Amino acid sequence: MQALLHMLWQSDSAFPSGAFAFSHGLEGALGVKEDWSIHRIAALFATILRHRWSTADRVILVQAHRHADDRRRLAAIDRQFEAASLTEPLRVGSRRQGRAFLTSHARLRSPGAPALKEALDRKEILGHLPVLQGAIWRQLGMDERQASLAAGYAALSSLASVATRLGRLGAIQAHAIVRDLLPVLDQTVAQPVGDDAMPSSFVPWLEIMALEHAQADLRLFVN
Amino acid sequence: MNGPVALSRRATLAEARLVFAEAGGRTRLTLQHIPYPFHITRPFHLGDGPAGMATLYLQSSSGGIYRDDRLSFDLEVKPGAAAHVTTQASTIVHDTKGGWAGLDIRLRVGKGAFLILAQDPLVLFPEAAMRSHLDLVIDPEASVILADGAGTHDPMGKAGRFARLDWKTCVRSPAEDLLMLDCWRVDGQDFADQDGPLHGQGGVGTVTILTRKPLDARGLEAGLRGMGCQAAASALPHAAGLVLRLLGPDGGFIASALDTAVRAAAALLGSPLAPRRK
Repeated sequence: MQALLHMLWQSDSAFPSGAFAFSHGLEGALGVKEDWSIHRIAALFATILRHRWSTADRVILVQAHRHADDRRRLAAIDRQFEAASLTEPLRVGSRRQGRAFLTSHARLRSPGAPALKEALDRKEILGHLPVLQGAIWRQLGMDERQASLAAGYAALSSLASVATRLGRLGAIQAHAIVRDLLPVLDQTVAQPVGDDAMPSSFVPWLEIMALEHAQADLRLFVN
Repeated sequence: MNGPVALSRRATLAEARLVFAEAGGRTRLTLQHIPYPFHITRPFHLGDGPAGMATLYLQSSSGGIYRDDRLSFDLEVKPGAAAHVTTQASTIVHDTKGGWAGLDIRLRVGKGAFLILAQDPLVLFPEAAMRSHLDLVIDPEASVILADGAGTHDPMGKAGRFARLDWKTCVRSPAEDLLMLDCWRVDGQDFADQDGPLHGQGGVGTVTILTRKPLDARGLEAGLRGMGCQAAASALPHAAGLVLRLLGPDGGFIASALDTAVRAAAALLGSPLAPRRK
């Protein structure tokens, strides 16, 4: 029960993880003048979940969860995610969000967090978000599936929040999308992750939008 | 797609190998092993790019890639040499009829060497399943431009979809440090989906510039915007260079955009290229 409560706590958007500042490319995408119906926004979210979060972030989170006690292995997983994050705004965003997430846990004295924060400050790890989610949540007693579900829900909820704050969705529409995509999340989390699996990501249009967004004079979100 | 290989009678197993080295101020082909279905032209010295650069066209004499084909291509550019290897045209991947085909490219580029490997996009026919993997080991003092991509075509005009494309570009230092990993898998349905990864476009391309020289990403994008291409460049992790993603309506458009981008990339590296005839 404790692990389940931790899962709810960590997927709560009120947790100070720094997520509110990042749109993960969505601000650039939804800024394109198109007919952004609720169905098309839901489809875009599903694409992000299936072709980036599930195949890259989740893979890294699961591997970090498995090797949470092995600092060297954790650093190698972190470096692999860095190498696979080709789009600079998304790469930098993941590291900044990871630092914010870890700083909060270190201040809360969550098990393992102060030591990881010291490692981050000493530049022994890069501090990508999914790596730190996997490592910290393992220490909190969450199992692999619970950690994946918490991270997936947080990612989906964050996308819905971004679209709402950008005025593309109302609150009820946003939660209709979240509800409708929960089965997608469930399916993706059920896919096995090998210890040697490489993070893979295929969202070229979103990457282009994120890079164009980084050049914009006026932005609400960091990426 | 990594299970046991059950080879059909039509399967082609081929391992090609080329080595370029510098001698007397010119880059020369010092080793070539080119089995069917690979075919190459002789090296040309066109007087562009870095001094003495050799240009070589890589061709296929089989009409494309078929079920159970396992093709590999090893290319080494020795220290100080400069080579531009480009395909003659796009490569068709035919219906693999429930199996799959694979192309593995292994590159090694030495100190002070220069390589452009410009491949026209793969054209995936309905029910094609393809694995395209590229592994590069690059010296910190070398420069490399890679261009590749994918589009689709249904010769029957029935909007058939390819089965699967499994893609990997992996770049390491000679010390085995991982510098860059571009890895993805997609099926034809998602590739064509209006709200999928390509957002309704019909082709995707990537140009990767690996160099320690500081480069202006905007300089790479400018020429592409003028031709109506959706494109943007990013600094690579580990300050390894730049990567440019581009999208367009079809494989033909992507081929033209890749050509434009490769010439822009070469100019950024201080080695402008003359247009190549294909």
